[in-house]
Amino acid sequence: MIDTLNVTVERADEYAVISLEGYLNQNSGEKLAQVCHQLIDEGIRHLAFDFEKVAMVNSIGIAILIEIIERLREFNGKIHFYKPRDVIARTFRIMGLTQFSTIFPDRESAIEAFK
Amino acid sequence: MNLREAKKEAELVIPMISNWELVAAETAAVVAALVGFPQKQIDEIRLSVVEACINAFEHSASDDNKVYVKYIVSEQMDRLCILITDHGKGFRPETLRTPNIEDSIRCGRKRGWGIELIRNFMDEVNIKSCGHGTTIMMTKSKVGKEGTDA
Repeated sequence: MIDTLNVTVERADEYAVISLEGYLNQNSGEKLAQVCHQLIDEGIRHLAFDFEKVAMVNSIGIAILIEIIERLREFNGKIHFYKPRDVIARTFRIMGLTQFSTIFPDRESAIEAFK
Repeated sequence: MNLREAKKEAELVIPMISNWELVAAETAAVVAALVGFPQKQIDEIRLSVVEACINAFEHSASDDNKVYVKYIVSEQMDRLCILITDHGKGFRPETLRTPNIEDSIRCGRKRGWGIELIRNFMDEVNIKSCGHGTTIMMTKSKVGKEGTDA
């Protein structure tokens, strides 16, 4: 089975930046969820996802993002996305993710909004 | 030179195996590019094909474990119609309900968004289903709606 999503994590004190590259589907989403739950267990409260290199998503992969949002809400945490393709940003809006997370144009603004 | 020009159609059969939906989606993207769709619409078509295929993978319970995809370009080269067919158990399209994020967060029901996304990204969506299979027919025109949530 090919690994469809590369996940890279950069940690700061209370937040982490997670850069993604590839296809967010069920398998890769579950792998991403494991990474996020580990970070939350370690005290990370805010997550910024770099979507610039995400070429494709599907609704099952995004449903897993909703689970991560749920978990962070328990800690009043925030989820920010930046640089998603237009079709992915619209998918987030259609599925209602933007009620519980925010899309930013770039990394700097996504991180600044945590402070 | 042929007196009658060949129809601009292509057919593809993919196995119901995770990630093979990308084969159908990328083929759709190539056909859409040949027709001259802009990249934004190609992305919408590609995502819609992914959703239709994984719906078939997840819900059809077909015996042959295959999805049949047909791409039809209009004579005027301004419209692409894609049919995604499985030979599964079928369902009643009228029972589909529009999901919402509140249910997802509150009730743990996080699936069921595929058809909703396809309806947002394509101009026309028709679902025909019976006890021996389902076909989702989706159409997009080069000059069509850009999505209801743009």
